[in-house]
Amino acid sequence: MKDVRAVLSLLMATTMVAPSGMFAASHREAPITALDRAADITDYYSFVSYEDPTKVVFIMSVDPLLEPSNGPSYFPFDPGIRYRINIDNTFDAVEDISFEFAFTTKINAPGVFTALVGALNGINAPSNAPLSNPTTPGQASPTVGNPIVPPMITSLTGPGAAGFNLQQTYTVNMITGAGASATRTQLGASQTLVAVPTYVGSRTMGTPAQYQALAQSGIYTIPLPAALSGQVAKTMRVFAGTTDDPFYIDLGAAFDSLNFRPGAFFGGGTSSAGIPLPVLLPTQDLNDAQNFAPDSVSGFNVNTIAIEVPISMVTQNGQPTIGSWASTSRLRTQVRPPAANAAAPAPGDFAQVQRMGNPLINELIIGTGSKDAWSTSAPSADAQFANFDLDPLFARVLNAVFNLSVPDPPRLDLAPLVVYAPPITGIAPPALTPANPIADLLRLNTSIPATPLASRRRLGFAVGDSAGYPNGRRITDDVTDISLRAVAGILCSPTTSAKCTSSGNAFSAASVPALGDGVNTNDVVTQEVFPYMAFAHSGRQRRHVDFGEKPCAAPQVSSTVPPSPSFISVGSATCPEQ
Amino acid sequence: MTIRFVILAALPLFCSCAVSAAPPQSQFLTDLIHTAEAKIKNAPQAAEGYSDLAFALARRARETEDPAFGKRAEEAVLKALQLAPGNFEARKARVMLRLQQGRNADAEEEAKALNKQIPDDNIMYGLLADAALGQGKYLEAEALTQRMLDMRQVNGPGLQRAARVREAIGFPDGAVEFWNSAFRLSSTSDVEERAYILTELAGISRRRAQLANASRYAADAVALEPDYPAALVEQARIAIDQKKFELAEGFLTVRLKQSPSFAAQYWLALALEAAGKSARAAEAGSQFVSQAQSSTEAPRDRVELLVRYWTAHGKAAEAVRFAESQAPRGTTESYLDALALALLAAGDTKAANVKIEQALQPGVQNPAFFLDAAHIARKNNQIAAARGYLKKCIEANASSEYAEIALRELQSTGDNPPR
Repeated sequence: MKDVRAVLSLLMATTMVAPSGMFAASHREAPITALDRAADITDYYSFVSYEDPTKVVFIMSVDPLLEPSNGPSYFPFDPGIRYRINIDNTFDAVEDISFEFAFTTKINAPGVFTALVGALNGINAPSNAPLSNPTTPGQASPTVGNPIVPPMITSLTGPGAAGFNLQQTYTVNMITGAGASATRTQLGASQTLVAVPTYVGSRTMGTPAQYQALAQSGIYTIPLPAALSGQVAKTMRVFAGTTDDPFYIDLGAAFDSLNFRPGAFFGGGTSSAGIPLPVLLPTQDLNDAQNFAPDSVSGFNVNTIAIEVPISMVTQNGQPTIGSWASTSRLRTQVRPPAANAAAPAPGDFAQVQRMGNPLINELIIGTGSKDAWSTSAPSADAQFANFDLDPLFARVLNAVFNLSVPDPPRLDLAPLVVYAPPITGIAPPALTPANPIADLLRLNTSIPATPLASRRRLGFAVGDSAGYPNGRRITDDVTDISLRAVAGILCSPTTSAKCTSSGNAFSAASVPALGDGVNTNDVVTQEVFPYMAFAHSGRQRRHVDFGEKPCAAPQVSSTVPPSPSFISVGSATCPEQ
Repeated sequence: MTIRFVILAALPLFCSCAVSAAPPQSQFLTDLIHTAEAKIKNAPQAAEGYSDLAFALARRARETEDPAFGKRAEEAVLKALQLAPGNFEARKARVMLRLQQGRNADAEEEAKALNKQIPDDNIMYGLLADAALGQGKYLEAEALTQRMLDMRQVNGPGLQRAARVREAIGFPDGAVEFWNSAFRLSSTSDVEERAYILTELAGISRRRAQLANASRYAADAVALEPDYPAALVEQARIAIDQKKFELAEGFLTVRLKQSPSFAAQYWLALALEAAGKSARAAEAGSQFVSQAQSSTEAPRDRVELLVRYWTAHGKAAEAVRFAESQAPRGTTESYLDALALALLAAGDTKAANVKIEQALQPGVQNPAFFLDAAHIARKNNQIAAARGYLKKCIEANASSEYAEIALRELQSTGDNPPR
């Protein structure tokens, strides 16, 4: 008989009430990335190469706070995730070029109980070895001399890789354009690209120097056809693997409602509520090599994807400024089923899990009720979050907790972080228009060369080091202190549209104190060469420098290029191995 | 063309179903209501208990099909909003109640505001999708449902909506897959939810003329929750399609003893008429019209059923006028099909053609609609189009009664039916 969906509307309206969680006090679910750590982008960096001013570097880190000793599987990338670095070079916040990474896992020795194993030149069964498991009762045979433990891992492939049990290879695709019209080119298709495993320890992977050599063998140079890189065929470099996490912050204090460490460094007096202001003394603020509070990320690893490509490949029309962001995506459950004859997943078959342009935006600026929506949306749709960007609650928190005067909204002084605008862009496109929408991108003027190590400053652009954040982001930039000060108004300028008032009165950036968390540097020295990240901490020798503890030695700044193997990790480097 | 009353020889009057005066009330929902009431007792000035109570009562309204629970839920929402004006959860409960009442546009407006307030509230995308589906905005519903699943892949409410969208845009197999996934994700203690999903599976199977599957799903639903009202009606509709009119009458009699239901009255009238019980059919039909006209509940279904009833009973012009007056509320494919048949009966074949094409536009794979489209096309002398619709009717489900009719009609024109 005739179909009528009788009482359909009555029924469907109550469908959502089923989960009992709906009745819990907390009705909203936790942000996606708290539940999907493999897809969680911890940091994203973009800067002009220190080694070659014609090239630009993009680095994305994922999977936070990897404890180096956490075997036996350690830290593979997730083969279900598409990791992407997206670049906009037309000021519309839509990707013009993307580099997409996909990983495949191979188990070389399925019977072995750990992902990475090895010792010396290999260890055979000794004379007292148990007999082999008999297939016929009473006929077990001796196993003496059979290889049991493979040799120490000294190579990613071939000889020296026998103990590299859980091995990941990856592909790199360059995608030009966006959406259905995008074209896809696999780069380095003739090469086997192997992800660098973590540093398990000296027995399995040798000395720090040997591990460094192993890790460096995971840096691949890929030839690029002229059609992709400009007039002349050029090369790009790529690295994927576990590294030190170079982010440094007093995470515990920051997220304990800005409860920074009394007595550690405060130089700014107290608020009317008796709360000390987190202000660094001038000598502390100038010291980019010493910490005055614990680095919560010290001793932790992270998974890193780094590429170095010709600037000419990612810019166009002579315009040197680009905006970029990293994203992670998973295959989606599709409401409209894909075509039955689809050979492979199409880009639209993936749903974005997270994205990152500027640091700390989702953490400190976007409200908790919008974090998932922000993570899963495109930067070009960021107008919906403009109220967070240009009237950040965090500024009001600084004002309330510390009695700091902060600028009144709308915070046009923060606009350079979310639109293409001077001083980062050489040419000012129309701001806040559909052609230049509010979008969280990490903007980089590639015509500004890298700052030499000796004059590099952790506070970057704000203190005259124009190659630093927010002109791109280097891995040594102190984005915590920069962000604190930016939110407090350090980007205000009396001569531009960033002119600010506070409570209706004139406001000067000079009144912003030297806010900071007291953590001024990473626990290990990062490299001056690609892939720039320090290689992974040793699992056996790993050490986290907790509050009140002193590191085995003060962090060092070195101009060594590349850094000495002794800087590979705190544990294996500055603390004696036991 | 009138509604298809295929009269068969009267079947023995036999119904194995138990007769019960009260609809079932699952312990799970009773516990939810008691928990909310306890919360109110402990904190009478807090909105939370009242919004929890509203959610629980809305579920009970779905379970019992008794509008009295919906009224109580409304009162709880009002109380919550008195205590905490603008309270998010209370407003969300109000959106659900508006959807239950078929006030899709009102629900959509409030849900949009709430979605802007907390974009991470996953279920709000589902409520917006419900409102879009209720207004026939299928592509919008698809996008909203996709967003819901993108944010949470393992998502029972999301899969349920995705199933509805899949059916609406022409992927019934995929819809069944999603309903089954949603069933596996549901709590085994929430028997009402599971009975509800099984009833939906029965419904989609029936719409595809897979009546054996439909019977099995509906039987499973009543096994989980005996005399579950929605399942009783579904069983009756399956029985009607199986031409087991006496059996249908039995199911609907039980259902109508639980609480008034104009929809159940409609199907009872139809079953009685098909069984040749004209006097009782007229009485049931009269009650249906009276109840439907006075009801404020589920107006979309009210419109469709009234249009179909009047069309089948010589009041096509009245049916058309009424249907068109209700168009601003939104146009689902069932509504459009009903209106198309009313227009056809009223002699406006061209307008009927426009409406049936609109009904099929999203990609609906309902064999009954294809057969209707074929008949309307033939009336418009669009012979090739009519053949095409007959073939689609067979392709949608070759074993359906509609396919049998389509096959006969194709063969009568010397055309080759699809394999």
